[in-house]
Amino acid sequence: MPLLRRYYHIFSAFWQRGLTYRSTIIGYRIGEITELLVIILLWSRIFEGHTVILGYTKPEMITYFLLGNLFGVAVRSYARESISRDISEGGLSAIITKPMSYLSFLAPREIGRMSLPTILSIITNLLVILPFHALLIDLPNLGIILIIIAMLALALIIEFLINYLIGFITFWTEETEAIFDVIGRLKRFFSGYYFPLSLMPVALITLSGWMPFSYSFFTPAQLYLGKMSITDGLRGLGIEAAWIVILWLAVKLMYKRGRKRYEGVNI
Amino acid sequence: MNRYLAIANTWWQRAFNYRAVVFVYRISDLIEMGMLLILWTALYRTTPVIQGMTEHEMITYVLVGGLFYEITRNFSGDEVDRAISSGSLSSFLVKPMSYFRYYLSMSFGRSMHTALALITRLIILLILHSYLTTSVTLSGVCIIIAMLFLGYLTELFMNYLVGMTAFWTEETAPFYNTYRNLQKFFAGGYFPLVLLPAGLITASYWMPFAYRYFVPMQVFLGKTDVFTGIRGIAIQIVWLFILYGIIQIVWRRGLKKFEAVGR
Repeated sequence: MPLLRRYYHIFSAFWQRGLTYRSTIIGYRIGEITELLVIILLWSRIFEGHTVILGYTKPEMITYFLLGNLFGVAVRSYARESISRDISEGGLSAIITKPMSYLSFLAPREIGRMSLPTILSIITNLLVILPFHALLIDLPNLGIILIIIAMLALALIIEFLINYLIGFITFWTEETEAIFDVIGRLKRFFSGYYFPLSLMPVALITLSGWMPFSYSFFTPAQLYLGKMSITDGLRGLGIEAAWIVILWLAVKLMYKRGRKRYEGVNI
Repeated sequence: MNRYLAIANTWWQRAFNYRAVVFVYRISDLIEMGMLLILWTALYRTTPVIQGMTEHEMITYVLVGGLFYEITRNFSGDEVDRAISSGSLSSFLVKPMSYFRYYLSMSFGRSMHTALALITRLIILLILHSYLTTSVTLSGVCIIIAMLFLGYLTELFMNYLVGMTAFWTEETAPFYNTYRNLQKFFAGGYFPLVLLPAGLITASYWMPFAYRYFVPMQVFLGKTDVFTGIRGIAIQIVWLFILYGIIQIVWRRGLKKFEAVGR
């Protein structure tokens, strides 16, 4: 219990801190909604005069983007930014002298930091979905819904671990913004954020199935639309679990190597 | 004049310190371009024409339009933001030159981003030249050059304005984010504006953003006449005056809020 209380205190401190950046959080939500509306507008125009495009009807495509985006924001993490700051500004020194490991400190801090923006993102996404509800595809069966929930939970863990890895790049270089940008775009691309991955060449579709990114957007959206079966969903959960193990090992290894390079002076 | 050249030269040299960063950003741009090409190529498998544009026209729009957009892009607003929030603006205020002129010289100097973007984009254009199409005339080329130059200045002014939000708040990142998303949308950077409803197309012609991507591409593809191009240039000039006026007002108001201690 004392361990849980410790994590709760870290969560609580960063939740409070998140409240001080209310206008920032709202500002980002405006950008987010604009982007989503632009995508919906684009596809609505493309569907003019067509009933089916590349195997998708208009309601399917709108549902794909609205729900996929909702899934995406629910499992998002920006832990890389705070990790990068810890390393480049030397704040890591203060954390590693505490009687808990840096890696176990990260999760409650990030959950505390991201809870408010995530809740607000989910609310704003639901508000955008509301006017389109008549176009949305009906809910799938309970089995599929449970698989989607499990997939998103694992996707959140994967997102955290990938963010840890990206953040640790700061051990080697301080110029991380551009690297974050490239990795972020590739992640969004392979998650199906820009367009359904089924529009890509076959080789890229196969590749994305083996990568961890599509499970935060494309695969759960496809499951919802009935374009993937329960078996596909279960296979996806297996791939996600394997990725969690691989990424956790990579995180531990990278942190160990990075720590050897780390210097904190006069903190 | 020498003074401004020296500033531009310093920032040009400084940009070389960040070669790797600039290069990595170029990779990021190429990923976005590749993604758009994949999307449009897939869509054209189902129909030969989308909103009056053929596949080759769309590929040209993405490749050449992307080049135009990068030529006119700049990120110097970040420096204004940094100068205000770090307090280093104080040292400029006591110098016998206006900060705005310093900003313009610095932005020209930082154009290594543009130079590298040009090289990478031109290589891609060379590789994919067989997919390109154009109906541009000599007068069209002149209009495009004038439009891009004015588009570059507009973007400089807009960035300066966004950077000045730092007078009122330290959290400027969401402003940049929203501004960049909106301006790219109205520039036609995500997709050609012909895909927008008629009302929004008309609105975008009266805004300054479309003249960095969509309108010069319409001229390049021969989809608009010389008169529309000249009218566009006039709209850009009016916008430059309006933005300059706003910059003066915001600067004066911002300075009243500016505080720097112990420097």
